[in-house]
Amino acid sequence: MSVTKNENFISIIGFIIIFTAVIGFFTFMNPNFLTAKYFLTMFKNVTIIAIASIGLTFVIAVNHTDLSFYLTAGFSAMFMSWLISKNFSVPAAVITALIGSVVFGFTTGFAIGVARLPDIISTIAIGVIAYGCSYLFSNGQKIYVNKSNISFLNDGNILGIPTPIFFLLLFYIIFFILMEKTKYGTYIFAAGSNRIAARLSGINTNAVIIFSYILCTVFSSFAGMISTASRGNGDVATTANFLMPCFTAVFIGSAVFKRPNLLGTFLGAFFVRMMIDGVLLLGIPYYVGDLVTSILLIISLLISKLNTFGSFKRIRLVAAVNTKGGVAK
Amino acid sequence: MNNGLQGNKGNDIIKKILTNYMLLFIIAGIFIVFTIRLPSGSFASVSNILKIFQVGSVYSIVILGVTWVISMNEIDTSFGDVAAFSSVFSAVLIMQVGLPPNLAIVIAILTGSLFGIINGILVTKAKLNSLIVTIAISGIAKAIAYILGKGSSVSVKQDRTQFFYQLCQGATGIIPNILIFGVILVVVMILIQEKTKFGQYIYAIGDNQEAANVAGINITKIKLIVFFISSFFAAFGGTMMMLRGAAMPTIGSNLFLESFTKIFIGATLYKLGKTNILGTFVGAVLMAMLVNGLAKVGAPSYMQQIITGILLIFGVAITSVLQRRRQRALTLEE
Amino acid sequence: MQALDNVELMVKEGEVHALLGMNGAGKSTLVKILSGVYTKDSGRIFIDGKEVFINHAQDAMDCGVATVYQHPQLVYTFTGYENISLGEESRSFVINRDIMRKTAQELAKEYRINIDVTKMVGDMRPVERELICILNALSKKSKILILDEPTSILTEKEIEILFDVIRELKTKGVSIIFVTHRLDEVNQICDKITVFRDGKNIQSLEVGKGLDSSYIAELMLGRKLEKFYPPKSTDQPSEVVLATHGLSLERRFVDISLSARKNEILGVFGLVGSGIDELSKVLFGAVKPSEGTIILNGEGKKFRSPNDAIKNGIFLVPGDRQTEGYVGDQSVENNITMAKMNKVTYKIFGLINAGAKKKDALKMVEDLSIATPTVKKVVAELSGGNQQKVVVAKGLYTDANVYVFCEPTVGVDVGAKYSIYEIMRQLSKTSAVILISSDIEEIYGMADRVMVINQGKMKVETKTNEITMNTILVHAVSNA
Repeated sequence: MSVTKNENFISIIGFIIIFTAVIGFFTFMNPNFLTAKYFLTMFKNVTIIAIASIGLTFVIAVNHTDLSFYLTAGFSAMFMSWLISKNFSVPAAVITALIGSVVFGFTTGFAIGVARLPDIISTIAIGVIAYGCSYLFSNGQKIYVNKSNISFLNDGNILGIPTPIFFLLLFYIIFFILMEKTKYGTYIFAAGSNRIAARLSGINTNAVIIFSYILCTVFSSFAGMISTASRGNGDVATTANFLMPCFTAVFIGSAVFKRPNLLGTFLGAFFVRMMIDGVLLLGIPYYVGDLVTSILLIISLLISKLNTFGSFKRIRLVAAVNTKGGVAK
Repeated sequence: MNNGLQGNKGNDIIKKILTNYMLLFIIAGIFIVFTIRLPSGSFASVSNILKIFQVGSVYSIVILGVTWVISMNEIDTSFGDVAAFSSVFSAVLIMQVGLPPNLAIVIAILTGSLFGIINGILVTKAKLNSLIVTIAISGIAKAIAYILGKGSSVSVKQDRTQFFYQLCQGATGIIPNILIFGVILVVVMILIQEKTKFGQYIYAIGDNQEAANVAGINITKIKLIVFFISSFFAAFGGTMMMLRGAAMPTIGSNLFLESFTKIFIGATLYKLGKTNILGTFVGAVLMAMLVNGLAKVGAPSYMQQIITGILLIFGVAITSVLQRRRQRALTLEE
Repeated sequence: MQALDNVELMVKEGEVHALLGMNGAGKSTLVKILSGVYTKDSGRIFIDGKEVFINHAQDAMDCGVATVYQHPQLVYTFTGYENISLGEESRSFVINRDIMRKTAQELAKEYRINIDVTKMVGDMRPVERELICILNALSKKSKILILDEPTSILTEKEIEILFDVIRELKTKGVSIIFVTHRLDEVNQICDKITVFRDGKNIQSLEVGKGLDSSYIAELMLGRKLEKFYPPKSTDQPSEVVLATHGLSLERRFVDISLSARKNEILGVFGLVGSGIDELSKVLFGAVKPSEGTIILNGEGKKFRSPNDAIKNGIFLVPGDRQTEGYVGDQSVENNITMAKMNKVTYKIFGLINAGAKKKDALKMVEDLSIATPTVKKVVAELSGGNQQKVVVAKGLYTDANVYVFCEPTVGVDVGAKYSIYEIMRQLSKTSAVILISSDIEEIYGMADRVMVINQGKMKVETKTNEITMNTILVHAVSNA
């Protein structure tokens, strides 16, 4: 099951055309858009949304949803900032805070997978708790982190690649392989599309769901930390605007490739951020970017509906023929 | 002919009270704790209780419509930003266009309701998932609110004599008008929910859409109306907040989480896991009481979040388990 | 092949008319045409001498035809009376529950149905839900009531309650079409029966003083068994591989003890709803038994999950292919290898060896002659028979010691059916095979030893060549 099947050809071509057209438009409006320097800046901005969307892609792939990941991310970012302000070393602070986010992810996954609570309400409840917990450290005040310590996460270099971009590529390569090239990926898609059949094939569907939710909180938390590093302070509101771009990125990805997948999510995140940055570059206020993102989300939803409609119809037709055969026997 | 189909009534009633009205016991418990913990007159005084109810009714009005959307087994995440939109839009109409406040407010409410119609059409006609649709629509509403307010809040010079100001900020004797209005609204909506076909069909659709369809109920129509109502109340709530002095495009994100908490905590009341108007109102009052009491005790504000989050997850767990036990006889768990 | 061929049926006013037949005989197709779910290709329907045209569910309702299904479409959080009047509460916007309740209670009283309509449907027992559906039909002034296998999920006591109601309806002039495959019930309440077989109505009989079970069984079965099945095993059965002792599941089945061996196919026969589907799930660890033990190779085992069962060398080809068997939007190769992916992964990180996966899947596709252009094709787009072969291939790929097949040939075309039978026979040489089915021909043709389950209870266990098909059927349908 490769991502790029022939059937997806049209939507992929369509996406490339739109993509190029948008780049062309922004370049025409402001020639700075296509310069290497600006591109690098934009790429860094893409990083945060793209990393935060990795886990969400998994959650959507197992046919669930998460409305709390951005709040857990806020908690972890505050937790890390607080630890750093208490003179923890940066790696220790990052890892401890990530473990905190694992606790939230596990709880959510357990509630939804094992206890079978409804996913929307459960994630909201966990989100409220995480949001409350993010006030624990400073009662909502910003925590200033010594920039020279943490700036590595944002401004440093690893092997000559800017740190955020290094992590972006690293995570995307690892988890793309996990999703597309390992048995675990097969389990995730199987559990997402037919949970009972997956379970009767010996797949531990509960573990798959818990795993996806843990990924979701861990990656959004890490993105929150990079965001904190770039601001130089921990703020409970840092991650408040993750929700929409991440959902949009994932759904643009599913619209293009007809199912949730990381390559699509990456392109979606890039596209979303490019629209936001392009709008900014034209001197239009940042909030217009939100408008564009939301409209993009609706369009990609409608396209993915149209896209899947054809194959759904075919599947239903076959199913109808099969049941009729059953009656006739 | 006695065939043993009549159940044991007495036992059922006790169980019913315990499960359906558990929330009221929790509220009573919290009330008692605060009353004991705080000096007399500071918490359990008439004025403070009125204040709690006032805050509760303001915040429940915004989400009365959303409650029905969820009862219908759909969801509307756009209400907060629709409120932000109508809040800013009405402020702009008053301050920049110069319309009379009453007219501006009516226009803003009606325009805000349009978002609900779009939600409804995308959900019923394009058959999209309501969660994602309303996330997208909320982004649009929020962005327009920012654009209208040019990215910041718009302060409004209030005309204290006009109708909507009196309704939302005024008082009759010691009782705030908005509390009276809120209670009337809640009562009317409970009547609609319980005593009309419309209310009956909302819950029929929410429980078993196929059964509703077989019974000849026009599902599309009901869903469209309910999504409209949801945005209507959100828009109304938005203008209500504008009347406090300033319209802020940011209120959406603040409303989002706490409103869902109120609705879902309320769902544990009375209709066993089904969101309902009375539950939403009680949920809003409970949250107002928690905020008020915790502030008076001097507890940090995050305590309220953590307590409500935990209450919510327990509420959901209990109602889920009860509902599942009810269905278990019929279907085997996988 | 046609699902229904030139069918004639005449039902008089106030008559209880049973439709009898094995699975796939055409009963349910007829019911679906009469209730407007399917549209007939040709033929005519008359009610009270006037021709009617039923093309939609609404048409059927307007003609006064109402159908009560086994799992009725009801709003579970509403009370009985609210369900009875759903959609027709009142002419105006406002509803009055007192009136609704009283109307429902009067209706129930009129037809002498003793039921508490104020109870929530979710709290009701299955029979009560069926009664609510019947009341709903009566409230719409339906004169013809179709009951589609109403008793299969009811207990004996509940069946009695339902029958009392049916007798009362008869006296009020309501005609009832009663779909069943249980003969004892027919004797109890029906006036007339029509036996269906292969899409045709074979014979109509007055019930009168009672029917001869074995004669009816013969009518239902028809032709003698054709040479359609692969030859039976001639080898001596091995030692017991899988056995159960006193296996029970609450409300579904009790005290089932079976034993499966190599070189022998064990057939478990039961009607739909007799507990056989649940039995297959319990053997596979998907549902925990309430009592009893499973013994594998002489060792007592408790399977925590299907995963556990697969690891112990058991595989189930589940009864409902579409919802339990395959993952529809995944490729053939993924489905085939899904239950044992370790065979195609490298040692590290579960990385898939795409070449090996394709090769293994291709081999399975060839071995079982699955008709698919490539192994990348999505399973939902295959025909029913090939989908089932994919599920079987998934099982074979796990190299299990025990295979449980539950209704393996429902909705499978003749060609694919035969090859599935051949695979089972082949498998029985190296593993224990249990065939659980409600298709009696299949059981009789395939099983070397047969066991009958009637309403969750074990009735008989014997070698297949020591019993006739009629006797098996009589054991399964007569009073438990």
